[in-house]
Parts: sequence; structure tokens; C-alpha cells
Amino acid sequence: MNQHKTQEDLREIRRMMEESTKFLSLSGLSGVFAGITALVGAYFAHLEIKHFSNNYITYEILGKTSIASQELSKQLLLIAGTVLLVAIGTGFLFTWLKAKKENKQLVSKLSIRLIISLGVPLFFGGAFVLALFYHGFYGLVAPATLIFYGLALLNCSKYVHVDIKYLALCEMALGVAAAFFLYYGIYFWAVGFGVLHILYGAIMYFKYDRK
Amino acid sequence: MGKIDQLNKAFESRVRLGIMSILMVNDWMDYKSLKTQLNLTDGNLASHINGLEKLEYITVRKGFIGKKTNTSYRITPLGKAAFQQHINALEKLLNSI
Repeated sequence: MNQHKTQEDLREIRRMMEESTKFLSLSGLSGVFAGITALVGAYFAHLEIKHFSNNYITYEILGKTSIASQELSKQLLLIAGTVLLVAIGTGFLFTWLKAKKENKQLVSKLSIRLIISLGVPLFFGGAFVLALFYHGFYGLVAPATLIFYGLALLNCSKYVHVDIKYLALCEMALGVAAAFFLYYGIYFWAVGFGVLHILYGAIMYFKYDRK
Repeated sequence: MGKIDQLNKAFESRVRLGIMSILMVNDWMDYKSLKTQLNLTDGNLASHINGLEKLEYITVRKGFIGKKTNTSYRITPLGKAAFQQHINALEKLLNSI
């Protein structure tokens, strides 16, 4: 038994243990693109909100405030929906490309487990946010989405690179901060879903993806 | 040569090392997943699995998904202990050099 074989054996053991328990095909680039999409979305949302508040007095005079605010929340939901679809779509695309490049299966017991562990907190978080909408607590939407997203990430951290824990903690901390500064929700949102994703994705890309 | 004696002959092959590593950290792993994870052909994997089964390092569970058979494997306490000892021996060997 020589030294080289011993080292190789240990490396193989470590690799097999990690690869069989973690879904490592998640691409860092998908984080970067999700972040950029979120920032673009936040910018458009910001424009809509600004437009509404600039014309608030006019709406009041015309007695159209409730119609205009309904229109605003419809626009914001549309933006949010588009951002979500684009972010998930590009995320899926980059992950698929990475899995193909590394000759890995995309659909496996592991990726299903990952999606469930991510999806369950997100589903209930989403339902909770809908309840907030229903009662008109718009100010709490941003903090709630950030906190639930952080919890979902924390919940799936055992199936991906452990670094995601730091992202999860940052999202939750930001969510709590956003709850104290209710009227700056959109900015916390832009930081949480935009800036943090770009940062995290870039770090992951340089740490693991680029070879 | 006391240190080398602790190395388990059963784990000399890279395939067996791979099977045991995966089963150390996964409860019940099915044959197909094991095969893709290790990037192996059927015959190769089956013979090594049989070897480990004979040593009672792993147990087999045969089930059905629809009409297809679905065979899963799990490490036994004996296998866990043996593999742990093997890893310790490898590490000791490396440290002593």
C-alpha cells in the first residue's frame, strides 16, 4: 500500500460521500441572473410606486384613489410574477447546462428532496403573504417574503454547498430589519433578492464552477 | 506492520470503497442510483455488491415499483464499524509517513 493510493482512497471516499448527499449542479450563474432580474423588477416596481405617490393628490381630488391603488397592486403583482418566472427559468437553464457538462443527472432522488425542502417553507410562506395581501398589510409583505425565503434556504442547506447558510442568515436578518423599517420594503427587497443573489452567485461561481 | 493489518482487504477495490462511502451517508440507496453515482456497468457493480453482502456489510431489500423490481441497499452496523476502522487505518497510515 503506497502513500499515493492511500491519499487517492481517502479523496474518493470524501468525494463519494459529498456527491451522493449534495446536489452540486446548482450553478452560481443562476444566482447572478436571478439577482439581476430582481433588481430590474425592483426598478420597475419603484417607478410604479413613484408614479402612484406623485399623482396621489390628483387621485384624491378625482376620488379615484382606491381604483388607482388596486391598479398599483395589480402592476406590482405582475412585476413580481414576471421576475419569479424569469429567475426560475434562467436558474433552471444554467443548472441544466452545468449538469450536462458534468454528466450528472438533473432529476434524482436528491434533486427532488432539494425541491421539496425548498418548496414546503416557500409554499406556506407564500400562502401567509397572500393572507397579508388579503388584509391589506402591504408593508409586511417584503419582510415576510425575505424571512420565509431565508428559512427555505436554511431548510435545504444540507442538500447543497454549505455556504448557502450564510445567504439564508443574511436574508432572514434583512427580513427582520425590513419589519422595523416598514416603508423601505422595496429597498430591502432589492438588496435581499437582487444584491445578495448576485454576490452569492458570483462567489459560488468562482469558488466551485470555474475550473 | 501492525498498521497495515488494520486495513480491510474487502475494501481494496475502488468500487467497494465507493459503495461503502455512499451507503455510509445515505439510508437505503437503490441499485440504479448507486450505478449512476459510481458510473459503473451492471456486471461490475453486481459482483461487488454480492461480495459485500456475503461479508454482511450491507443488507438488501427487494421491492416493487409498479411491476418493476426495485432493489435497495443499506449498510449494516457491522459494515459501518468495518468501514470506519478502514478509514481510520488509512488516515493513520498517511499520518505516519
